[in-house]
This record gives sequence, C-alpha cells and structure tokens, in this order.
Amino acid sequence: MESGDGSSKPSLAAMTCVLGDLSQPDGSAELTHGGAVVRAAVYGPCEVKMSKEILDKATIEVVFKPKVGLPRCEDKSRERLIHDVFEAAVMVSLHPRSSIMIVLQEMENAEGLMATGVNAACLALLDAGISMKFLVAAVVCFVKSDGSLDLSPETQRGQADLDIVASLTFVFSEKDLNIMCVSSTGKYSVEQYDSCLHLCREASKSVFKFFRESLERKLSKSI
Amino acid sequence: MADEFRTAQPKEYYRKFLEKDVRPDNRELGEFRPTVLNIGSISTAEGSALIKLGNTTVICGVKGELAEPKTETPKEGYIVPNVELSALCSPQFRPGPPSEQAQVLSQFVADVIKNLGNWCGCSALKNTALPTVTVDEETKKVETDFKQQNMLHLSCCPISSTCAVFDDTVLLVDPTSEEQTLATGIVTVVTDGKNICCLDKPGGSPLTDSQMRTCIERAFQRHREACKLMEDTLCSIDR
Amino acid sequence: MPDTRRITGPESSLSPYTFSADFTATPTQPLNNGVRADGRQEKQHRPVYLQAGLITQARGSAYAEFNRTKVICAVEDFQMQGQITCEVKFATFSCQMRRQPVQDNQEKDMSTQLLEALEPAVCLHKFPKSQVDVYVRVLENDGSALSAAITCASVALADAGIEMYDLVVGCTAKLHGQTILVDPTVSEENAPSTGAGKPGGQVTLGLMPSLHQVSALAFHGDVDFDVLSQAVQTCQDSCQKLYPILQQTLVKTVTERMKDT
Repeated sequence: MESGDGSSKPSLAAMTCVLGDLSQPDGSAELTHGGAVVRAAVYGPCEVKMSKEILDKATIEVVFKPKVGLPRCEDKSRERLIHDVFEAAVMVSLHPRSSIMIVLQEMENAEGLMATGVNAACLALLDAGISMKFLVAAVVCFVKSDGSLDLSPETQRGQADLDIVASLTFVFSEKDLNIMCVSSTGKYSVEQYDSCLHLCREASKSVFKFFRESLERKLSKSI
Repeated sequence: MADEFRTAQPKEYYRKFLEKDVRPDNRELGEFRPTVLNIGSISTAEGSALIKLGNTTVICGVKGELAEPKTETPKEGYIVPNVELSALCSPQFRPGPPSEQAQVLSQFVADVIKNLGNWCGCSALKNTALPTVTVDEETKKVETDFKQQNMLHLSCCPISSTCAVFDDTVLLVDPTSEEQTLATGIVTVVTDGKNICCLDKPGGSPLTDSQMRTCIERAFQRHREACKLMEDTLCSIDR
Repeated sequence: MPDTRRITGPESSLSPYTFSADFTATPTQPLNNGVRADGRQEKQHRPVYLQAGLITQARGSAYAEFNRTKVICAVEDFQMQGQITCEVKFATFSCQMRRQPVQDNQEKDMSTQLLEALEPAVCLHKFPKSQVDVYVRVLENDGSALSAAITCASVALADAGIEMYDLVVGCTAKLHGQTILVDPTVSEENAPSTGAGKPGGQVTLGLMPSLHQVSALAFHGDVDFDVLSQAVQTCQDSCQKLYPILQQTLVKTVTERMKDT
C-alpha cells in the first residue's frame, strides 16, 4: 500500500492472505506480510485434555512451529504471547471445558514475524467462526539508527541488522484501539515509544480493514 | 475468618482492600516490596548476586568459559542465560526439565541482555512472582592470567519493574505471586534510566495509553531507586 | 540431541581454570604443624549456620552453611503413596568447574545416599497416604556437601512438621593415612591420598544423636580397619557437638512462628 500523496510517510507493506484452504482444520489462513509468511490453523472448540481443562472457560492452546527443527525458547515465548492475546480476545466463557487450538507454522521468517503470526491467528479464528469479543491487529514498527521510524519490513531485507536499532510490536484491540500487547527488542526512548505507538495505531486501522475485506471476499465466493 | 474469605473469594477479598487504595500486605498500589541485594556471595561463581523482593528470592551466578566465537560474529562471545524455576521455590513448580514458564523467562532475560550490545554481561535476575534485573560485577579472564582480573564492562544497567492489571483498571506495582494469578494482565518494563530496553505486555486486558504511561514512568522511578541500592551494595562489599 | 528447553551456548567450551597452575597443582601436606590449610585443627568442624523456614511457599525449608559450603532445602508433601523422595542438585555455578543443568551421576548418587540417611529417621507409618519430597540445592560447594545436605534436609523435615524419631546430623571426614580431617574443604577432598603406601579415603556418617544410632555410613577408599572405626568415632563426636545447633535453630523458628500468630 503506497501512501496516496507520495510523501515519505511510513506505510504498511502489502498483505495478502488465503483463507480456509486447508480442509482438516476448522479454520485456516496463510498470511503474507512483507517478507514474513505464517500459516495458521484453528481447531475447536473441541475436547480438552483432562489436565488442561478449565471449568468455567475454554482452554486456548497455541503451538508455534519453527521452519526447521524443534521449538526452542523463543518459540515458547511467542506461544505465550499469542496465547495471552487470544485468551483475552476470544469469548472463552462461551465454551467451558473445551479446547481451542491455534497451530502456527512459520513459513518464511523476516522482520515482523510475530505480528504476522498474531494476524494470521486472528484470520484463522475468524475463518473458524469462533466468537470473539473484539478483533485484534498486530503492527510492527522499526526504529532506524538515524531515529526515523518505518513500518514496512520488506525494504529492510538484506541489511536489516545494520540499520534497525529497535523494533516494537503492538497488538491493538478493535474496541477503542487499546493496547493489548507490546513486545520489543532493542533500546529506544520514551518519545520514540510514543511516536511508534501513534504510528502503529493508525496503521492498525488498515489491518482491520484488510481483515474485513478478506473475509468478505471469501464469504462472497463461497455462496 | 479473613483467611477463609481470602481462599474462597480471592478476587472479592482484593476488591475490598483496593476500594480503600491499599493492598492486603499493607502496601500502597504503587509501592514496591522491601528489596534486599547481596552481591558476590558465591565465591565459586565469577560473579553472583542475590536479590530478595519480599518473599521472592532469586540467586544468580555467572560462570565464564573459553569458547570459539561463531564464524559470522568473530568478535563476539556468547551469553547464555537460563532461568531455573526449581521445585524448591514453590509447589507450583514441578521437578524435571524446565517448564514453559521457565523457558519464556529465559528467553526474556536473553532478550534483555542481547539489547545491551555486544559482549557486555549483565545478570538479569527474574522469578515468577516478579522480575527484577540486577547487574553485578564479573571478572573476565584472559588466557591463564588469573592475577589480572578484568571487571566486565557494562554499557548500561537495566532494571525491570512489573505492574499487574487487576479487574482491567487497577494497576498494582510489583505484584506478589497471588496478585499475579488474580491479575488480568501483566506489564513488565525494563529501562536503563534513559531508554526503554524492553517492554513486555503479553496480551491480557487492553490498556489505554495513559495506563501504559504510568507503568513506564514507574519503571523509570524504580530505576533510580534500584541503582541507588546497587551502588550502596557495591560500595559496601570489599572487592 | 540439543537441549531445546534451555538457551544453549557454544557446542564446546573450556573452563579457564584448566589452564591455571594454581588449580592443577597438588597440595603438599594435609597438615602443616598440626594445623590445616584454613587454620583449623584436625578434628575441628567449620562454624555452622542454620536457618529454618525461610522459603514461605514450601511446607518446610532450611538453609545450612558450613563456612563457604551453602545448601538450601525444601520439603513438600502430596497425597500419594507413603514414601520419601530426595533430589540433590548442584547449582551450575556452585563449583569451580561449571556444572550441567541436568542431574548427573554424582548428584543421583548423592540423592540416594541422602534418602537412605533420612528414611530410618522419618516415621513413615504416620503418613500412609502422603509422599514427602525433599529438594536440595547446593548453592556453593566447598566440601562436605553431602553431610551439609543431610543436616539441612533433616531440619527442613522437622520444620515441615513431619514426625521423626530423631534429627539426622551429617558429618564427613577425610582420611590421609593415620590423619583424620573432620569436615574437609573441597581442596582437602580432592587431595590425592590413595596409592601405594598412602592409604586414605573419605567417610560420611549420618547420626541420630538422641537415639545414638547411625542411619547412614558411606565410605570409599582403603584404610586400616582401626583407622576407619576411629574416623567413625570422630564423626560421631562431631555430630553430637552439632546437634544442639539444630535444636536451637528449630526452637528459634517455632518461637518466632508462635509470636507471629
């Protein structure tokens, strides 16, 4: 998405998604955002393991599979983040003593993998028709060495490590655009945090728009 | 009677206190628990620190070893932080390989250290109930020369502080493990005094900008308090 | 198979101490004018510090310090079959050389020895349906870790309110020929003593002082029978001397707890 007036205002990289292309899961999505590609599948609400059963709400289980090898500590940390986001966003009390499982497969790792993962999971949940309190959208923002901010990770490829000093991933709830989740790497000042927050919040609107359009497209096709 | 109420209706119990802007352990909402710091108590470790925040105790030891650097980063060493949540600490933790919680904490500590730049050691101490990051002195050795022990240079001194969100609205600074289980969200901010080193809010209830602001401001304030404590402790030990 | 549950470092690394002459050099004499390297007499135990009930979340806990040897222990109990389990673990930073985070053979061995030392003291028949778990973490090892673990664990069990016939006090002695060194430090423990014409070994005793019964006796090395029985007697005397410290610690903890409630 190019910004209309052609100015250098940071803009979000293009997103494409495929919804419901897997037949076995209840909902699935593959989201490409910039260089990062994540495939998400949702199963549920279905039976839950006795040990994980919660009496008054559904158990959200998240599995994040890396491209190669076994899941490591960083994948566990991603799983926890996605789990905590969707435990607050999904209407868990609708399905007590059951399990909603979100499986994410990393297809292509680039800057902003985490945000793509959250968005892919949200699309897959939409596709599975799981009731949610609100939609969530993740946007990642990069602070460059000269202090400027950037949203589109795609342009950073190749020389990413040299130029980016910090990255902040925000997850917003659609309701009031409040902050659901923040996760960051690198050092940045409070002012930079504020401007990143502002920039990401604006950008999240277009992510929500993208969610709606994708779903509309899919639903109009299937009728 | 109060104890039964606390066990049966923990949320209601807390609400009764929070109405009066006080917590069951007599703290104000924005107050940290008393902090005790002890540096260099383990002589077999190259550097060590023990921190106590109320009843949460974390001990950290640093061991240095010689290793060949990676070919892609020939001028950098390794820092391998691992958090262990031993079954000693609490019945919540089971013996065996590190739980998911421990893995997430290890990763968090690794991220914080990585952000400090190359080859600067910093022992970040963290525990379930509350994270606190503390820097300690460490010796870096050159070959076999033990007489000459270089103090590790730290580019900055990150201090973390945690806030719990109770009932989506009330912010509790430095939550105990009980408060943390009742909370609907946790925010951890790591600062080095000037900048934010790491911000971690993994989901939970959505917060407004001003609530986030409060957490960040409290973290900066905590940084000043903790640095003072650390300086005092470092001064008092004989190097 | 790489450990995916921990953050892993380089595949191979070497401790800098392997290059140091100070650490590979063999100490000359166990005794110098009748005085040990740290200024103690042959049969003198290091000063002991004990504290009970310091881990608030655990059912019972204790911390023991023999100068630089530091051991912490917690006791939990569960509704299970009646048995005790022990787990001894050295912290990765507790020794000169870095320890691995997974339990190694020495630690497994120590766990069994600790279990065998405690089992005779605990009135297991009073807990037909509960499992008592004892977790011991050696924070710093400067010798006699096993005896520190035994002493610490028995105080933790008492702190947890688990019925016992008596407390178990541990004591280690290192034997160099005819010389008996009570409560050896790590350098005394590692000093080579066995070999042609130089008999030696190490003995660890777990004693229940009030009953005057031995609950554990571990020995390795080769010495004359007379020297061994003399060493056991020395350890026994040492345990008897330590016994009041354990009792006072428990009394202090109980009185403090009574004051609070």
